[in-house]
Amino acid sequence: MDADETRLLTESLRALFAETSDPEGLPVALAELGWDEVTAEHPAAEALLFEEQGRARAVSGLLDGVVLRELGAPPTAAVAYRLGTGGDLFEPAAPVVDGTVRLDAVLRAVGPRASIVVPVAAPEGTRVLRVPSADVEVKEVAGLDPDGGWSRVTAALDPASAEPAPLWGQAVAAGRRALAAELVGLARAALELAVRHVTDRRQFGRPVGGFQAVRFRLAEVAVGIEAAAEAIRVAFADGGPLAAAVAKALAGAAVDRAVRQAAQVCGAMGLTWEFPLHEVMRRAYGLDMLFGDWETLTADLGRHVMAAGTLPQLDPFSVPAL
Amino acid sequence: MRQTDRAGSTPDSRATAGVTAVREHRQRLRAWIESRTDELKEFHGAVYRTAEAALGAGRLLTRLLYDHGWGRTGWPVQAGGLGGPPVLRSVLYDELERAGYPAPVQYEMLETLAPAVIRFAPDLAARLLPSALTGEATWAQGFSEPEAGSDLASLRCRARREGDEYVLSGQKIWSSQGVGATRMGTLVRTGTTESRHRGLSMLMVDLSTPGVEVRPIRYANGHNELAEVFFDGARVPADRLVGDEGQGWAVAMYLLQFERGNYAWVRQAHIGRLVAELAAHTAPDTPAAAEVGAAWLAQQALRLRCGRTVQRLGAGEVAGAETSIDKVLLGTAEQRVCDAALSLRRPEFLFSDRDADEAWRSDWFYTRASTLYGGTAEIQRTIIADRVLGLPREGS
Ligand SMILES: Cc1cc2nc3c(=O)[nH]c(=O)nc-3n(C[C@H](O)[C@H](O)[C@H](O)COP(=O)(O)OP(=O)(O)OC[C@H]3O[C@@H](n4cnc5c(N)ncnc54)[C@H](O)[C@@H]3O)c2cc1C
Repeated sequence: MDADETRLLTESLRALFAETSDPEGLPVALAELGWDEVTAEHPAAEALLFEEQGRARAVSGLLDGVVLRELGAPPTAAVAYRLGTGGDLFEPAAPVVDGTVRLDAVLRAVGPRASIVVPVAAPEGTRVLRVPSADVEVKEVAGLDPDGGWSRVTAALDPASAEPAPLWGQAVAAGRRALAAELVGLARAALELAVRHVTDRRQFGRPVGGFQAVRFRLAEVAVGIEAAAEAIRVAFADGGPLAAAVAKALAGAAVDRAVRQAAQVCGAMGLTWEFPLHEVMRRAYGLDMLFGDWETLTADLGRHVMAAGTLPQLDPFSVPAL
Repeated sequence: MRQTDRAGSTPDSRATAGVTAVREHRQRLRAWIESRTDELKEFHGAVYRTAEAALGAGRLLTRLLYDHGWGRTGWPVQAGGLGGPPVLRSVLYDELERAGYPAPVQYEMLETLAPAVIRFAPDLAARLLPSALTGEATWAQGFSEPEAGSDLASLRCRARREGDEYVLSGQKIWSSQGVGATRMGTLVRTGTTESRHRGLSMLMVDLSTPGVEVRPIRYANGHNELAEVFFDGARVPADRLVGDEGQGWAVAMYLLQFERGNYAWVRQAHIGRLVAELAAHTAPDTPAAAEVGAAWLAQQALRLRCGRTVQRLGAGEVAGAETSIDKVLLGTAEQRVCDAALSLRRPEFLFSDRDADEAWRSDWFYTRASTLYGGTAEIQRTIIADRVLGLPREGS
């Protein structure tokens, strides 16, 4: 995609998210935009979609769509995103304890779903259980992000009917790339709020954005965002699990830094209910937890590189520059 | 409408061909390095206890790489290279460090200075670059002065035109690899001091010229990493100008893109090797994993970002103020990696005289400067705030 195509697509997506507030209407609007043809030609356009979703703080089932597509599973299911940590870096899955799958997960699905896809860390490799939604209790949950459309499911399940899931690692990688892009979109939203605020707000007879301490904080935010954006580009071109995990770790760190700095430079106004920064924070931390929060990923990646014989190095030259 | 050229290739297909060419070059180079372990033995994992020793070894390795063509690839044919995309140079530094061979420090200065000389003074590049590519001549950068650090545009080292020559008087300071350097890309004032950035010019000055004196500066790691250079009526031929007289600021700004992109790439390769060492020699308990993970991630973030910049600059794009992001990532990554060594290997870092530990200490001291040289971290944040974010000007 060249720069012009990227710009045009970004504009259409931004308009689409602005006009479509109903999560279930989103797939229809995307179909009208011819989104499937766009991604067929440019798989990396998926990053733009999720980045705009983040920026708009929109709620949708798009993430499930990506994960299920890679898994080769029907889009009518919901994906269970495990809340615990530990286990395999590239294939997070619910542990089996004493012959029982201990599921504690959140769902990101929109609307009713026939079944829930539960990845299970079986001794012989990751397997997937398809649990009829009626068999488990799914509770809507407000938590930190009441507008996020989250629900939580806890269950003890019998792993006997779990099927081998050789594509789970690939599905996680795709989900991590999408999440990374959404987190970068949220970080950009926080940065834009802050830039606008410090430009308008005056103290001591001048815009507070003219104070070096304020400027430097926001410059730091920009650095984190651009590093993550670059990692996302490489992750889409690379397609592998390591690049996807790096992108998600950097994006989680970038948005964490962005919301903290924005909260400081926007003063008291930034922490009011009407100022949308808290909404960005809520969504960002919620999404960061899916497939591993950035701090956990950082340590897991450390363990991964310490175990590798040769230090893994992602390759920026695998992506055309322009 | 997609653009196609006569051969029917699209921009996309050309870009893909570029990626393939880089990958194939990397594979050939890697195979060559693996086949030459004997020839390269003296350089493997080498620790140099002086700056002079590092430069001396760098000269030998540069020569060897030149003779085999690897050190010429990506440099223009007119200037002693073998041509090809500039990004192939970056692959060389990456593969050397990956295989455990410190990339000759000479390349750091060449990646910083040579693109500007090639761009603004191609004839001069044709005369001067070949001996630098063989390793015979080393280059240094003379921008800073005692009274002109962050405020570079206030520099005062004068060059007065007399016929076909410039006569230099004044002082430069903090020149990396200035000890033993053959010539220095020197930013001088050809206009009045009040003219600030409009009255500057850049000259390639031979440091053997009468009236030039080079004195080593011992850096905090104990090595003569830096030099100060005094000019007292030194005569420099006017054909040593890089760009026109008065164009020095534009040349310097062009150059700084490479200092923040290409130079940063050489450094990321170097600290990548340091992360590898850290990863290999640390017990993987939980705090260590977090520390190593953070160091590796910082290095990867730098690598991905400046890798893109290297490609863009190589393709002739202007990256400008955006390269300040690369520079901040460089400072962060370099210090992160060496700080990880301090905290994970504290007893050895503090109280061991092994070469490997002295190397960590030396790198630790050197990386304290990565938030200073090439424009301090504060100056980079100012540029980002002004030109990337468009914030209100400082004090406005
Ligand atoms: C290892 C090393 C290698 C170097 N190599 C070279 C080289 O090869 N060639 C060369 O020409 N130079 C070189 N330098 C010099 C380097 O470019 C300067 O050190 C740098 O530009 C800063 O100048 P200064 O040291 O005079 O610090 P100062 O400008 O005196 O700054 C001191 C402190 O004040 C801060 N400060 C200054 N102005 C501002 C401002 N406007 N806003 C906020 N903070 C500010 C700085 O960020 C810094 O923290 C090298 C330096 C080092 C340490």
